[in-house]
Amino acid sequence: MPHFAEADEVRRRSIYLLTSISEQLLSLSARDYPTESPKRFIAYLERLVSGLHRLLLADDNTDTIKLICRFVKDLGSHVRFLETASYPRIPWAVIAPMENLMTSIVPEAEIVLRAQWSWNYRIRQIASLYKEALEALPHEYFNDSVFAANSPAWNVVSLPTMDRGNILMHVILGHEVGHRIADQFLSGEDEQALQQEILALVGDGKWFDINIEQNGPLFAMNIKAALFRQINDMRSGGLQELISDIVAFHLFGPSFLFAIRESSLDSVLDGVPIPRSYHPPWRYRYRQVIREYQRQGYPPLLASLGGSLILDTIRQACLRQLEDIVDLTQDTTDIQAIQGDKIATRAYQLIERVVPQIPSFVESKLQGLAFVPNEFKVMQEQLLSRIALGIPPAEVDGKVVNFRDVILAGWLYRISRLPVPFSAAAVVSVEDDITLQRLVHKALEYTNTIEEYGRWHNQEKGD
Amino acid sequence: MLSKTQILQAMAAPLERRLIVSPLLDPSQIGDVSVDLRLGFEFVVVKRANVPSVSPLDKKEAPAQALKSQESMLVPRGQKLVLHPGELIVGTSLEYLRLPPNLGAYVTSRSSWGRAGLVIATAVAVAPGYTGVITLELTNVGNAPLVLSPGVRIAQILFHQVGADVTYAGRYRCPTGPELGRIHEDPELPFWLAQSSVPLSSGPTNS
Repeated sequence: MPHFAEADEVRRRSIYLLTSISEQLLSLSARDYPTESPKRFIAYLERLVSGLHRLLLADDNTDTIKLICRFVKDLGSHVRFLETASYPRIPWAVIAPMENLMTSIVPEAEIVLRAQWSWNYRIRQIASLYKEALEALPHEYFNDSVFAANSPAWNVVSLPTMDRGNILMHVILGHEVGHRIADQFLSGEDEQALQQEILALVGDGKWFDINIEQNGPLFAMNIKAALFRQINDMRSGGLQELISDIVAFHLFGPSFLFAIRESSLDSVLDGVPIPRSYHPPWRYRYRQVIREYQRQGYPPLLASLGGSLILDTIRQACLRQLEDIVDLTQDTTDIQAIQGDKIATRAYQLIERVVPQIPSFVESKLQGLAFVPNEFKVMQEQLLSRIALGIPPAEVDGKVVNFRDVILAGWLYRISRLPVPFSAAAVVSVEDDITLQRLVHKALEYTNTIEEYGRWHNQEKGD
Repeated sequence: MLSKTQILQAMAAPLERRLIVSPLLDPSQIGDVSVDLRLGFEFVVVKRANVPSVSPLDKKEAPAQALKSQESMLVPRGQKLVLHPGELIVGTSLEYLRLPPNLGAYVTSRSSWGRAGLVIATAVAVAPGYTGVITLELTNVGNAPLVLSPGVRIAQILFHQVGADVTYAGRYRCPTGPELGRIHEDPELPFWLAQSSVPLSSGPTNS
């Protein structure tokens, strides 16, 4: 009687799973996507699946086959990224401009934007995950996918399904792509100097536990290593968020400030950073972004809006909202909370030293891509007047506007809580929010179309 | 019916009373007495479904029945949409319109499409003050499948003056894409769907 051939069984199982993934990819390739990016991601996954299949047939090593089987199971779960990248699961008109902006910031990246069920925005580096997982396997099977010389760095960027129609909120995607710039900042730091700084802060560890030496030197060393790790993680986790916030503000201006305020309304403002994410307290984050808002000269721009009942109402409401955020940041309860935590105190000493460098670093990385509020008063007043009439805010004097101006107009109108279309007698409801979001989405469709048509028209004329 | 000069004048009026057609990608869309409308990117397709019938009058069932028997579709620029003989697809104009309170409008097929068998609108009148995209009920009454593409000029809209300013009081609030019908929201429906409570024998009698 033949022995149970484990390798063959695992191989058969892996091939079955790969066949299932291929079928799902085929089915997903027939869907409607707002850009070509998801289809390129499908082709990339198909090449990866084909490489795995060939390797399974060629390799008899049981460990290798088991490793492939485990990887195939993970790969199968990533098919879901594509399922929610198709129409109508995502706000399609916002995808192309966001994708273009993100790939301009990180030119080596390819982006798939998709919706996810949990309420969160997130960026995942898929390609590097695959590279790491397949590193131990023969590379020649993946030379046309993961290990190709010009292999794109695939990133999957998620937005929350619940808020998919809330176009204004999606400026938070600027924060997500900001993580790639934060990576560049952190990887460019002087590691040795940083190590010395953290070691000095850890010291003898008695600030954490006065009896640290009681259980012997090995125990003390372990504690100090854990403290080192926590201070380092809290510092880099905090800087990741703060740098990403500044990137998003540079990309979207006050829209980002309004978006993080709205998205964090249900959050504790002074929560001390906790392991894993190490997010800074919201109040601390607002403080950094408000500094940028003031430094970039937005208060007088917003104060310049006016000249009609609607525009005066919008100006007053927006300035009031921003002053409220300024007031929040003048309260230092977040800093007191940090100072009440021995590890956070030390991590934030290091963060405070770096914070002043962030804006100039971000500016150097975003050359030409930052949001510039050109002709702010004329443009915003016309866009806001269109919204008040129930018209998508896509054009000013017949000329197309940048999608970021459209989103800012949407936010300014939204903050004012005026009905859409405006009517002095109407009572504002959630319906007005929905109508506003639809108009902004339509305006984004139009800005894309007008721009592309104009380019084509000019080419035709040139010929 | 408004002439080209009058249409251009209406488009240059102060914003509150302006005729808006946005985006007007090419000035040639404005003809002698009409404006050409292009086909938008989003569609609702009626599909085969295990729904015994569709009752647009049934307030409770209509929305679920519609969701079961209709499917949303995006056709990006450069892609095609095939309309088979007898098929109904709901689309919209690419353009977003706002009619001032003194103008009404009619939407008609462009004759070249009509000759190919395409009927583009079955609800052709646009009320003064209407704001939104124009819904196009696309039907192929010919014998051969028709290939359509977003952005093509598919319909034309003709404007006319109304006697006095009219405030729009329709059901559709700034539609930006194809929407399901709302016949079930008609306020008179409860009366017409209820059985008469007056006995037939209770009519006038001779005394």
